[in-house]
Amino acid sequence: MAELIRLDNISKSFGEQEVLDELSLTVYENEFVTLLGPSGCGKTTTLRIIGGFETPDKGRVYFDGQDITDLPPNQRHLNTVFQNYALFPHMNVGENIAFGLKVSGKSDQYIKDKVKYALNLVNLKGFENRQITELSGGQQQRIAMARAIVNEPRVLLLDEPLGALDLKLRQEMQYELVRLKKELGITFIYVTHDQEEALTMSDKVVVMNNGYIQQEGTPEQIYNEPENAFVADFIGDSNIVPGRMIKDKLVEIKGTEFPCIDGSAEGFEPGQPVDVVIRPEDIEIRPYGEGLFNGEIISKIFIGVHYEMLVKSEKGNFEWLLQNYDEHHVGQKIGMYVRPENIQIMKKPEFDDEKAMELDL
Amino acid sequence: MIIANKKWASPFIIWIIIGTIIPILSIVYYGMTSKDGGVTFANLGAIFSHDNLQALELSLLLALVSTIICLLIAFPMAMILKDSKYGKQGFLIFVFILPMWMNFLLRTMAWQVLLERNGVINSILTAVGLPRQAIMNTPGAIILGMVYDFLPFMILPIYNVVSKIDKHLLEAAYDLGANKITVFTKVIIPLSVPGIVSGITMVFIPALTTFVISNMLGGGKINLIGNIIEQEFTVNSNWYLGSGLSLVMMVFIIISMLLLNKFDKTGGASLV
Ligand SMILES: Nc1ncnc2c1ncn2[C@@H]1O[C@H](COP(=O)(O)OP(=O)(O)OP(=O)(O)O)[C@@H](O)[C@H]1O
Ligand SMILES: [Mg+2]
Repeated sequence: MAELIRLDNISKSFGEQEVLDELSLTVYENEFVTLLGPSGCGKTTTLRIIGGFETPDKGRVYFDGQDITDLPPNQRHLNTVFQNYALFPHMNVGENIAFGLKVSGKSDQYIKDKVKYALNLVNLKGFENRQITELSGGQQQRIAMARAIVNEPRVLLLDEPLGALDLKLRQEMQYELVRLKKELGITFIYVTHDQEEALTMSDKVVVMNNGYIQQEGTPEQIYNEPENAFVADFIGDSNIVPGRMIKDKLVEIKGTEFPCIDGSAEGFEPGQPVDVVIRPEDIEIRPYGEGLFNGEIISKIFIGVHYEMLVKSEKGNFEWLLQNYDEHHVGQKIGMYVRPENIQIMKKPEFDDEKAMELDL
Repeated sequence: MIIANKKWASPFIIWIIIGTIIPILSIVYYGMTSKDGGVTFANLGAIFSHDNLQALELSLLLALVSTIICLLIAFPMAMILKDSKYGKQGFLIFVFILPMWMNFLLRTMAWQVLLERNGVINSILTAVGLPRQAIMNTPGAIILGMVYDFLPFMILPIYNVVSKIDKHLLEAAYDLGANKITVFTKVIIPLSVPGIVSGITMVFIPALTTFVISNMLGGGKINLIGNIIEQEFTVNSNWYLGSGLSLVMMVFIIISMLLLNKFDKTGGASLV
């Protein structure tokens, strides 16, 4: 895959507040990249720098190998779907979609065909003459998409485009977006703070916090191999526990020793303090005394397909979060087992910034 | 609830009756009766006399020119106010509105002092060796007075709409490839139509009917329709003719308002 956009050591402050700190990111042609992170972490700012609405204080932006840092937005080969859609209220649907084409001086016939094509693509055939105020939120969202894609941009920037929709519509639109991306064959850079949305749609997820990239990788990598406690915590429910390496491929957590698959090869030396992530669905329930450690179920709720339980371990008095398809009862004593490959060992944070963030957890 | 509403509404209804309905009815009554008490359309028809038509024409022209000048000054001003740091905090806008708090007559009188034959401007001109200018008592002086007096009424409504335009709309337009001029003509102006319409209303109507400005800066030599109506009431004590002409003006204004409002409703797209 060829490199399409590269952010090189971008820093940006608003007044005293440093929003992005030497952020570097490469986006490849035809990728679906998602910037994921909590509110205020700098996702929108990053996107606005790519779109040309904000100038970085330091660093350069490259598009197709060319430095576009100082190019105004109207000269960049990308289009944006804004968080609040930003549809022109004084134009009808057709005029909104045609705006970019008119500006670039396309012929009337071309514009007409293209508007029709775009409306078809977003499943709103025949909506040309509707007023913007006559559209539902989901329909407005689709028109905003249509208005952007008729210009055949090489990259589409999307800032939480589904944020204002209800859950069901949001899930529907997630499929739509993936389908659209396939049909158009262009690059999507997508911003969201919803981890599920990021994991379902993206080729690559970029987890951000406090203006830093915490981890970058495929959804599977992000979910299964979080690199630090922040990522692990942000991507779904997890047990994040401090531990200590005993020797190669053996880690001690809350007084219990767990065989794992990481060790010296990954740079974890015996005696080194680490953070350990164990997903709740990876803790298997065994009869009492037959697992690696024992505990007592202290709460249980049914959440759809499975049960979620809190289990207090006998050693270390730690409350583990478990998910299981079978029903167990509060007060029941159980044994628990975790497969070595399901134990994710992470380095303790080294930088002050990361430490500060760990305290928030 | 409804009863309470009615109770509270009554003072306002009385106010409307005393302040609006009775005066209008009496204007209609006087306007449509002759001195000897019979019903007549002569007072209305008097607008077609040569002098009156000429005054109406000049009034329309001066009001139109002043309105256009106000619009041309106010729009850029509103844009600057919107973008400036001080504009947001209301300081600059405060500076612009400040003259509005001063008495209208005083403001116009100040221009008299400036424009007079021996006024401030001519003193400066002669001091630097330039010839005196006869600015006073010309249509130009009246337009100057109108623009000065009515400009804030144009700036305020336009500033109001312009400052409320969602900045994401402008960004969206840039994003779609528009340059500054296109953004201005295709997005900012159409979205400002309601403000432009109310600005025009608030400048054009008082400018059309003023008699104070033309009295003070026109030196009685330039007769606007407002002056003629005023003279019928004061100098000639002919309430019948004065009311008749007022009535015509009223209809005139109502029609132009209806036209303007229609423009507002059809939206700005047709404006550009
Ligand atoms: N124009 C601005 N002026 C001052 N501060 C700003 C500006 N834009 C953003 N910020 C600040 O920069 C930080 C990052 O903002 P940004 O909009 O990038 O966050 P985000 O990750 O998109 O958050 P969200 O998920 O809430 O949209 C925030 O603390 C915000 O207050
Ligand atoms: Mg944001």
